[in-house]
Amino acid sequence: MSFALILEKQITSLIHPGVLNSQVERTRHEAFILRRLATSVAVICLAPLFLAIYGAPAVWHALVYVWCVLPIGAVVLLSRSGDLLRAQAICVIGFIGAATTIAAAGGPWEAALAWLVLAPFEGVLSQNYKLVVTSGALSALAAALLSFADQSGVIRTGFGTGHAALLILPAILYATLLAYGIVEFQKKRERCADLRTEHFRAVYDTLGDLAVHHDRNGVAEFISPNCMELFGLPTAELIGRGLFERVHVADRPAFLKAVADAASSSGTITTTLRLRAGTPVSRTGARAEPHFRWVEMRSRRFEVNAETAQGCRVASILRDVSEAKQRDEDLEAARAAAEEVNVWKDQFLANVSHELRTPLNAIIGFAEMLANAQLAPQDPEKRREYASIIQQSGQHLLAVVNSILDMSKIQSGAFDIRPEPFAIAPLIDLCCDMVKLKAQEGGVELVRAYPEQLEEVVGDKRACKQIFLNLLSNAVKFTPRAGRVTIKARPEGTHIVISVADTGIGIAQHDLANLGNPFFQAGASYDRPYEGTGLGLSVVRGLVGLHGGTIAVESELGKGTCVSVRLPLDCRLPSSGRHGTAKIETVGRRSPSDDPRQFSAEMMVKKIA
Amino acid sequence: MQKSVLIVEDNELNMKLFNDLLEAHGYKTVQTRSGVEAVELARTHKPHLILMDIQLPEVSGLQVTQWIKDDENLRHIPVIAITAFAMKGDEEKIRQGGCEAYLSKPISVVKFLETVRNYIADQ
Repeated sequence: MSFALILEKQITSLIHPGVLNSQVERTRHEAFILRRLATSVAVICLAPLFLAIYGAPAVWHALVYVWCVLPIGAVVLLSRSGDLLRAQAICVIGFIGAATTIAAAGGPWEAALAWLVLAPFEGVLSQNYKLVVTSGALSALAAALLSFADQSGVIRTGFGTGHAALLILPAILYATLLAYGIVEFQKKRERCADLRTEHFRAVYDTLGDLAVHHDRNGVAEFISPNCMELFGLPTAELIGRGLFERVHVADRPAFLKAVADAASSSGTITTTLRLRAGTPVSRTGARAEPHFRWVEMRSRRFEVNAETAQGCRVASILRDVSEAKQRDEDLEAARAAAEEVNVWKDQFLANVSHELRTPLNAIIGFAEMLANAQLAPQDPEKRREYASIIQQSGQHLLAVVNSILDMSKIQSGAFDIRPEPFAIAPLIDLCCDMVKLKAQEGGVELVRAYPEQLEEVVGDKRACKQIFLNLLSNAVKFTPRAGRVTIKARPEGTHIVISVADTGIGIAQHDLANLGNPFFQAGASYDRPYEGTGLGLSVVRGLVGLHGGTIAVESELGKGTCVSVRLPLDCRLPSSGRHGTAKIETVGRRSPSDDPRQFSAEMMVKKIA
Repeated sequence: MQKSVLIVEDNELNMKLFNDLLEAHGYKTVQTRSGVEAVELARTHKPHLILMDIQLPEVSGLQVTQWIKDDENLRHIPVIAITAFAMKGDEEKIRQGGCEAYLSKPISVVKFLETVRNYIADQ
């Protein structure tokens, strides 16, 4: 360890702990201790030399010696109490005491006067006007008293003429004023510096962004003091590598690149990165999850005086853009949602058009044949058949239009249900009868598996009829020849569960999510294998929702589908929770042959709000 | 010789309309509601014209048209698409899919007969 280091360590150990945190005060104390100790040590070292030259000292020699080593006492006092002013006052008393002793004992008076002139400068170090003025006044008083004592013959000073001591007064005055001026000048400079600091502080606060200086490696040398308000971090935590360590790991290369790019170019480099903000500690003392803020960093190089610091630095402004980022994301999500709605709307229109045009083709075609003298068949039987086809297609068209209207009413909340008590079994019978013909034509067996006596239900009879009819005709439509459609009904607590199972084509897993969306029919539009609006299930969904019920769909591609509707026995009860559209709970059954072990684990349950 | 037309259409009422119109004008018809069957029927009956619905069970009319156009022996038979897909861009897509003509539903009977006549007269 070098001598300088040992000395520094020793001096540091003498500094009062109360001023260790203030850089300026600490420097002052250090300067005082170092200078005074050096002077005192020099005086002690000179003692043997003095003795060698002059022999045994006179009493006043010893007294001056004591005055000269008095600063050691001042250093001890400073070290103990931290009171710089008092320590300096002791030094001033030492100066004046030494001067007075030398003069009074008839020693070399020039030396005494030098001490007196020096005294006012002691106050410069602590920038204390009072100490400067008091020291000056004491010096002047001492000079005047010495002069007076010499005149009145009390003591014999070494002054050549009696008034010599008085002539020193202008010098003391000038020294006092000079010291005063220095203190004033320093204070002004300090005020300027304070003002600049305040100015920058106000600029940072107004800017609302974090200002950072770093070297070209990204090591932070300066962090603006608004750091705490902005990111909840004390400045000290970001100085050095602290800032870099708070940058999200994934963004660190971008951070370093931006700083390096800024250092080697003349432009402003902008990058976006995530900064780990201060983790707020909750009342229970548990630390919250690390919380990253999105920050836009603009960096630009600036030159530093080559003598004090090497090369260029980079100044960066870090702006918290988390909210803007969030807004961007929200906007993007809203845009995507709007686009999706648009796609749905287009598809909806295309499907409406297709479903209206299909029956219209038969209506207009046959009507045109009948109206045209050349095309109209001669056979009246045939003409009647054509008229009947027109009527049949017209009815189908009407059903499509009604579904569209029902759907739009349900969606806009204009569909009123009229609850009334009715027996459910006869209603299901009626619906079965209505699809029986279609089932026979398609070679599908219709199985009624419910007891004849079921509890009475309070609900909208017309809506319930529509629900069962839609489910049954869907099942019949999507079941190939030789298949089977089974309808079951059973009470379950305060609900009744009606399920329609078929051995039809099933629904692919990726299509289950879209089930019940108006006009959605599994499969792409040109390839839609079955005609139909896709409105059936969405109308069911709406009507079940109005009754406060739920729907569950279980399906396996190629094996069949089972749709279960859970209706409250009394839809007027508040617990039934009526809302716009019912949730559809879908379960995609995977074929067991895919992976027998994971059969149950692979059951996919999806909820649609 | 009586000209024959293969009708591929899954809606029975529309099938009846096309069939009756064609028969009343002296054409022989072959009917099917299945796209897969359509290719087989085209091979056995060698029709002079095919009327193709686009939305069919199992495979789409466009796919069936593709199969027909890929078959050297069937390629020469004109395919007229008759479909309820009548939104903007549908005609273009269907013509690009290999159909010689496109008629949207609901059809105009006069235009329908004229188109059929045109394509059969070309042969």
